Amino acid sequence: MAVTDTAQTLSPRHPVTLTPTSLDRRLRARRARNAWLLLAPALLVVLVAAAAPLAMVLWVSFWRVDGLVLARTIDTEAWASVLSDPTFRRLAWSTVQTVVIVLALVGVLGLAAGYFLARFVTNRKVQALLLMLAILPFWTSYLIRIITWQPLFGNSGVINFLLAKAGLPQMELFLFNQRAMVFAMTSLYVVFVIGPVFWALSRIDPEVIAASRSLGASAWTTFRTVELPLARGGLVVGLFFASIFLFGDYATGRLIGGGTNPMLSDAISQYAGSGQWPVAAALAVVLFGIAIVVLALFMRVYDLRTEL
Amino acid sequence: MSITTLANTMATANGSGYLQLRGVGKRFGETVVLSDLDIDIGEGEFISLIGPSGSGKTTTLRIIAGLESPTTGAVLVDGKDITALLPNERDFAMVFQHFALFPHLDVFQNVAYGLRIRGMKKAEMERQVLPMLERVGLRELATRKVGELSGGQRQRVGIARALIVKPRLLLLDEPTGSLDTKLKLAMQTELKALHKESGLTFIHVTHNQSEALALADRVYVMNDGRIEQQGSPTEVYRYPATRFVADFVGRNNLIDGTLEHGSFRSAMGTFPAGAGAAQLPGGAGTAVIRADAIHLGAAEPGAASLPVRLDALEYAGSIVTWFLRGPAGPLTADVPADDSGRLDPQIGDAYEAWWNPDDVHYLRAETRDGLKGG
Repeated sequence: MAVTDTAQTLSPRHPVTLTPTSLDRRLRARRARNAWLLLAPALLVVLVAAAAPLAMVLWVSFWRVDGLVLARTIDTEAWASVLSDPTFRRLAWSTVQTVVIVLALVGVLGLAAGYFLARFVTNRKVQALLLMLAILPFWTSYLIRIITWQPLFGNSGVINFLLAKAGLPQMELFLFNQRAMVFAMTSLYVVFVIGPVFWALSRIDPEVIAASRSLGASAWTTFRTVELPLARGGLVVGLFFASIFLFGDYATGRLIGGGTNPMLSDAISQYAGSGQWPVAAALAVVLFGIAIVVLALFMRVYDLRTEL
Repeated sequence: MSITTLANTMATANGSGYLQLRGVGKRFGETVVLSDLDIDIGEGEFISLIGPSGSGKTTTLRIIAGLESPTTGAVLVDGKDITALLPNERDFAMVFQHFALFPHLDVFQNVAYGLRIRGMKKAEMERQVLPMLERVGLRELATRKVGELSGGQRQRVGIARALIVKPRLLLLDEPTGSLDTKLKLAMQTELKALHKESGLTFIHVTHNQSEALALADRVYVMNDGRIEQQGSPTEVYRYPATRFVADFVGRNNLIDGTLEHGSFRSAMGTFPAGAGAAQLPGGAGTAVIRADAIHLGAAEPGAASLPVRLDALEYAGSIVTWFLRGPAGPLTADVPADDSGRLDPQIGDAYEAWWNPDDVHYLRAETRDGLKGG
């Protein structure tokens, strides 16, 4: 009775009768419109700055170089040479190898450092300071960072100087070989893992760790069965970013590795530099494909969408 | 010898002292959290540590669990010093106020955790976990994520997870603290039953005095990092040893005064002292009168009585609390709802409040913690 009364008194003031369904439909339409409005600027940037150049690269890979002149054709010459030449296959394989080794290293070291920051540094200010220090090298130029290694690790660098002074045999450990390159890359990219791992570990409720300990788990077992699974998202995010940089890093290989273990990215820059655009473009497409496969593998290990 | 001291002596004699805290102290920097704590717990006892927040009860529990280390003193089990043992080297399990379940595991995996880390085979794990889930009524929810459970269900997972490792001691840190009133009562019944069934020693921390009185065999009342009193719930409730305990446990009226010639003189009036006066060897003291010992209406012969005015009423089911104003301060009376209804209370009206003098418990002036007046 009361309900009907209310409806009657309300209806004259609201001549447009809206059934719940139509209200629902209007709300949904509005949400969809707002979603597109929010997305549009970023989408535009991605289209102009990423998708279009990528399409260009794909197109250029089908061009041809006649002497020194680029011909805009549809030609599979560059692709034929990229796919048939075993050099490129070796290059692709060694790139994947290097990336996997460096990712394994930055993963382990990043976990250790992130764990140290989150669990052993109790003072929040010191935590922030140490995290800043880890990021600090990124404020200097990439090349300068690499070049500063030479006087330290070079064959006539500080370490070998000290070894000689101590009467010990000199080392050729850290410059112009694959070890040196892997070492340099690890030190450059480990910070990408430290940050997210630290963040993920800090978010774990200390009581959950206490619960594990009180149920009989040692600190190591607790790390393995509770902390690592809960920090997996941070680890994968970190490795994800590190791998993006790793695939594109050719300078470290050239300056520290001495070209002993060239990366696909190095070859791309050399071919592009010598005007062999179609081959460079085809290699870029291959590298892009490899990167997509690796990132897809990460997604299989851990669905990043659950972190968002 | 007072009843409480007698009880203390008996507890120490009977409670074979399965778990003992000897002179345990804890300080964080300059802050003293615990000072010189002595606790004796017998095998199979249900012990409650109660006190207001900041009284050090949770720190005490964490020291027993090995999650905190004491600054001074020792923790002993069967006479052996375990102070230096890691939490996983102690045979204890803990239940947490905010459940602290493993968010990446489902209900079954949470309960099975303690067995898994001991390397138990899957078949044997199922043989033990499924009956345990059955016992706590979570059999159907075995594959649920813990995030999908209600508070009561989560705490039952927490309890099952602790019981499955068959600890010698179950530590419960405010186990009902995150539950609403109805669930709280159900969980209390559950805990009592589990204690009986398992025969384990339970140490339970709560700021909820009624929960402690309902569950525990013995209660330690803590304040400011010290133990104010220990004893059975009845002792602590009826014979508080200090002004703090009288104030914290139950709902008591505290009246300061002096005892002489069988009567108690105070600003509220002069009343017959009653049998409890034997505990107070004359002089200054505080009369402790439980709110449920104060009656309204026509006084019985020989009763202590005083005129009061009604300030406010609070209905709590079968009990109505009368907030009264006496000649020199407030007085609180818990009146059965039926009696209260017969009196037809009107705010501002005058009534006669009375009590049986033998229901009064007296505190010596020196246990008043320096609090004067009131």
